[in-house]
Amino acid sequence: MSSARIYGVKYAARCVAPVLSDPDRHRFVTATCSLRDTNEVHVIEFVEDNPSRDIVCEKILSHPEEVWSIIALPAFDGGQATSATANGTDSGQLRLITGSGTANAPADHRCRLWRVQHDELKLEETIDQNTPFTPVRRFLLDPHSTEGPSPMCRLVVLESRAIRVLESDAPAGGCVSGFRSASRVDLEGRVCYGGSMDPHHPMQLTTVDDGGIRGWDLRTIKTTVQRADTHPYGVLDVDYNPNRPYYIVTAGEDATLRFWDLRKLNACFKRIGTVHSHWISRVCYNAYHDQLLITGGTDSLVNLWTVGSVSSAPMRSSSTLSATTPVAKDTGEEGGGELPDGLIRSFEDHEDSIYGLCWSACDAWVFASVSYDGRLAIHQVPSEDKYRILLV
Amino acid sequence: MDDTDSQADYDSDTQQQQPPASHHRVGALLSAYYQLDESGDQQQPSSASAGDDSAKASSASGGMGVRRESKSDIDGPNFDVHSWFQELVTNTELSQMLTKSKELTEQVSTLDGDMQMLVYENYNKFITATDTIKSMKANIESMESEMSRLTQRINSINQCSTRLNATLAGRPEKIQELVGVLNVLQKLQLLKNLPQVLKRYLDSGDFESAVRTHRRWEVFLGLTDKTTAAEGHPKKAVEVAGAFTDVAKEVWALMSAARSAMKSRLDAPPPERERETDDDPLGTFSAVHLVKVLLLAGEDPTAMLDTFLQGRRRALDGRLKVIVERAEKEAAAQRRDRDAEDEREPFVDACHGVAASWIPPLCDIIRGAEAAFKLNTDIIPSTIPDTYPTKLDTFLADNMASLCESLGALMRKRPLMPVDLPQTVPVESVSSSVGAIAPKVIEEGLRLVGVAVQQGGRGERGLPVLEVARAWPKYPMRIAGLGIELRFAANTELFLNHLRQLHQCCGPLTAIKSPSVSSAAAAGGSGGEGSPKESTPQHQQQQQLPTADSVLERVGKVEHSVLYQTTLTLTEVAPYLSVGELDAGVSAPKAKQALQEGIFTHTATLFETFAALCRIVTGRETDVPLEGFPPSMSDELIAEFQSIEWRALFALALVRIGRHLEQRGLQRISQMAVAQYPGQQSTTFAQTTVPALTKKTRQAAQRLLSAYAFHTGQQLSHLLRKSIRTPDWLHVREPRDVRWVMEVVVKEVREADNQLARMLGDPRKPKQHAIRSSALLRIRRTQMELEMDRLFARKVLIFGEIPFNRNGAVVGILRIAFKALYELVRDETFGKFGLQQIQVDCAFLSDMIRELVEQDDANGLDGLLDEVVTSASQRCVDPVLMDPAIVETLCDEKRARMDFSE
Repeated sequence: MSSARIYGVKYAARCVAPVLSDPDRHRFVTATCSLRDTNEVHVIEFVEDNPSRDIVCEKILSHPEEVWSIIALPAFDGGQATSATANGTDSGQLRLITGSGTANAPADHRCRLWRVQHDELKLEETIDQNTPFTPVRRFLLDPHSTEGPSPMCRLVVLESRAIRVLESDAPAGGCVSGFRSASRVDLEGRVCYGGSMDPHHPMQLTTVDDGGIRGWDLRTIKTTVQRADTHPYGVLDVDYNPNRPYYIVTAGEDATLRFWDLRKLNACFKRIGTVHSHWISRVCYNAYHDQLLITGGTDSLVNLWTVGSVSSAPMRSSSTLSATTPVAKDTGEEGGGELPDGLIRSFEDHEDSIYGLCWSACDAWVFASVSYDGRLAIHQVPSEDKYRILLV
Repeated sequence: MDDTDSQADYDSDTQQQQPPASHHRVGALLSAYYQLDESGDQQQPSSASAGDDSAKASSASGGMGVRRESKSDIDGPNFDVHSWFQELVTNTELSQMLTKSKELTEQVSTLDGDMQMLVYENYNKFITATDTIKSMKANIESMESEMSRLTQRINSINQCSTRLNATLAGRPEKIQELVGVLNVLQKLQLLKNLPQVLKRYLDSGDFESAVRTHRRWEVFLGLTDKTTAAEGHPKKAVEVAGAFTDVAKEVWALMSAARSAMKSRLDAPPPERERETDDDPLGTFSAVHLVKVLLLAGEDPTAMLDTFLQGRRRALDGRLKVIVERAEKEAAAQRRDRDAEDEREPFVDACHGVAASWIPPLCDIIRGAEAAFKLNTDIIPSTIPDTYPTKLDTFLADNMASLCESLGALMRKRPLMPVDLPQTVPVESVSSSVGAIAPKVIEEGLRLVGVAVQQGGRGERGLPVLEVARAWPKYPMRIAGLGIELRFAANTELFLNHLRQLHQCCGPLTAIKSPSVSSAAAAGGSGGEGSPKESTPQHQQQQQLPTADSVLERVGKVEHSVLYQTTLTLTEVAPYLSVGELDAGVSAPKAKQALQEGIFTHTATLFETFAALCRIVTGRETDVPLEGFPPSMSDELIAEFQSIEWRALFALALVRIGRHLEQRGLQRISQMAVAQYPGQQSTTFAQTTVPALTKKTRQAAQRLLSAYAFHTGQQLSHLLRKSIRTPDWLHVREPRDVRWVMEVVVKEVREADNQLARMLGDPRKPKQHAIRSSALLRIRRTQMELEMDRLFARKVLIFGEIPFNRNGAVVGILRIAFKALYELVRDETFGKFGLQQIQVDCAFLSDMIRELVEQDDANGLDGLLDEVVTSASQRCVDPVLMDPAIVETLCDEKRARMDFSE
């Protein structure tokens, strides 16, 4: 049940993203980054109840350039219905933005908005041809922008050497059709590796670059906080705790995870490590249960962690723990309903470095990872741990 | 006198009315009487002695005689005015006469004035005298009747007295009895007042007076009913008893309240008082006084002894706490401020201080107990409890044990040596004496107590520690245990100081340059040859590096010191076994066994501490709860070693020490222990503990070596990162040489390799140059082989533990560096020549590492380098590799140019 489902793409791959417009199914997009071949964007679906053919390749779309980063945009209002009725056969409302890292590719091709029509990618827009993109590493969707009275898409594009904020037009027919560049800041020679949008406060961003960790206020595009030596030898990714404001986790080249409070960055308050045997390239909090973390590393390991002690869970659970413990007993694990901090499970399905990692948009227990050798794996949180978290 | 005076006044008054012929005589008389003239001084004695009669006589009859004397003296009594005038007229000139006349006229007028005044005064007196005489006359007339009345009354008193005598004459017994009754009544009154008196005493806190008063009255109160009953006056007895039952009850209540108040004071002396004035022996003295009073009040001596000792125990404990706290603070302060050269250890002084200020009160208590229980005249000797000596012994032993524990705690709290221990001061001199001194302080304390006891009348002389130990049961085990612990603590401390000094010795420069310098060099050299300007600082820095030799020398010293000192400690603690055997609480073999167990535990703790420190320095698992650390490791120590700077040489030095301990040291200690303490304990130690320790030490050292590889490899990775990031790989020119940064990398690896070889004593075997080129001839290896190598390389644990040898460490370093290289390459996009540059660089690296690592490992590393080239090819827009022959030529040229003279 908990062993991974494997899916292969032809060439090297660096990115995987959940399909945000379809919150009822485990759908992911991934894309290849081959420099010399025609690249592909794969739209796949993972069906939990179907053990025989559990990863369904929905579409393979050819993409002219290599793809370093991809995001499947959320749908608005009517768009969602369309998508639901389409039920995998037609993805008419699927909008993708792809980013390229190739240094020699035409600079204006580095960030483009696509519409998936039948089995083709139709170019909707080449975003912002005025200011050339540096290689694009990551797209971050501002979770605050899609809500409210006038929903739209605000994207933060993490480029190697710059941070750019894109804002969509008002979505028409459930989909966005174009973006404009709202602001951009140059990193002045630093190389950006990753970042995360603050789910609690609008327009707040945290990025990591080779100068350490940096907080941004996107309204002014100014640095709010920063700290240089976050990890010895460099920091590679950061993510916000979805339930506890100001709490973040960083991953670094010393193969450790460090937990910080953005309000007092002078010291990290927790550190876990020694499972990865090389850099941790990605770290993602589970959006619902902030005791769950996944990490992917260049040691080709995907690890699932529990960090109850720094999550919002202990505050909730301590009072109810004694009452619910007997229920949790049937998992056969050692007594207590609360998981001790540390590794839950290490997934060794990859054979090359992992650069892409994400949780499913559908529920809290499925996540996907993709390694550089083109292998995509979909994992599930082991059911005993799932129940322990749920029953606490 | 008044009468005569007034008589004279009267006379003079009458004389004044006589004709002027007698004028002079009267004037003279008056003058003489009132002493108006100048010669009054001569005349006064005669008048005083002779009285008024002689004066009268002279005035009445002396006229003729005086006249003969001088008729010419104008002021004299015999002055003859006519003859004088005749003489004057005949003998004197007119002018003189006129002058004289004038003179005389003045005198006459003056005299007239005088006379007038005198007359007035005398007249007044006369009037007064007359009045007085008149009133006297009247009074004397009434006196007669008064006198007769007085006589009458005295007579009647006489009569009354006689009558009274007659009346009282018959009843003396009755009176005496009545007086007796009066006395009894007075006593009863006192008795009635007894409660108030007692209360007053008690209120003023004068317990002794209260008890003494009560003791005086107690008999009376207690026996009243019995005696009267015996004398056959039941009715009276009942009356008395009835009348005083209330009083007796009240007194009894008062006294018992007083007693319990005293007891509670004795039992728990107000701690504040003890605290505030801990130099004031009043506490003990007043306690002794209370005991005396209580004994006087008839308390049971046994119970009193217990209470006294308990109370004193508490007081002493409180006091000890205060003293120790203060001493600790002072010592800590002194320690901060003191001179580095100062070899005196403030904490040892503090121990002395504590013992010195705590033992006198203890002695006071013992003397007090003697005074209260043995020398107290108020109690009968037979009431001294039989258990008295035993109890005092226990008391002493318990208190000394508290002292020992406190001193032990004090010594344990000794802050660690500051990290910036001066290198010049030999570590031994700073800390070796510490452990030996603390037990000595305690021995000294025991000696003092022995003296005190002797002074208190027991024992014959000051006792050495063994004697004292024999004298007080249950105590020896503690002192022996403490002595052993402290001795080992000193040993551990010494070892730690050695390590601290070693850390200093290994810095501030580390084997691998700081990233800023390396990156500057890398940035400068990335284009090709490094310019001389940039290589200069590099060169200088290498010269400044602490040489592996100096570190090795120090490591040797540390290794020797730890073994020697541990052996020494094992020997030095042996006497404590015989101290422990004196303990009455346990049988001798058991005591020995327990102490030996302690010795072995402490020995193990030393090495466990080392292993723990290695783990801390390793640093990568500080997030894991630090389980399995010996309890002796304080949080401060952990924090200290967590915060020390990572120094590659220090890590290697620790690895070396660890390996030395693991391979030889522990074995030697084990043999030594078995020889010194033959028996079950040492066998267990040698067969179970030592192997476990060896394993722990080995693990710690191995992890540390892995950490060394990790840090060194990561630093190399950073060097490589810059070299990959900086160039524009799409547009570099065709490679003509291996990039300069690769040379730096190779040099760094060689440097690390040298360090490893020296520190681990694992020299590199000289290699045949012929083999080296096989790596370059990739063409001979099949695609499948390459694929397998790469697959294997990708799956290898990069940060994993490495084999415990030089080769393993170098391979570990290179693995980390090469893995980083291929990760970095994947982020770039290469042109044809960019790829070829990478190819050349990798070939060079592959070539150079063959000298440093074993063949098998080199193949594994080649897999990683292959992966670099493959990844670069994937990221290359025009993947055309260079002809291997040219690559080889380029590498050979570079190699020939490289200067490895170190």
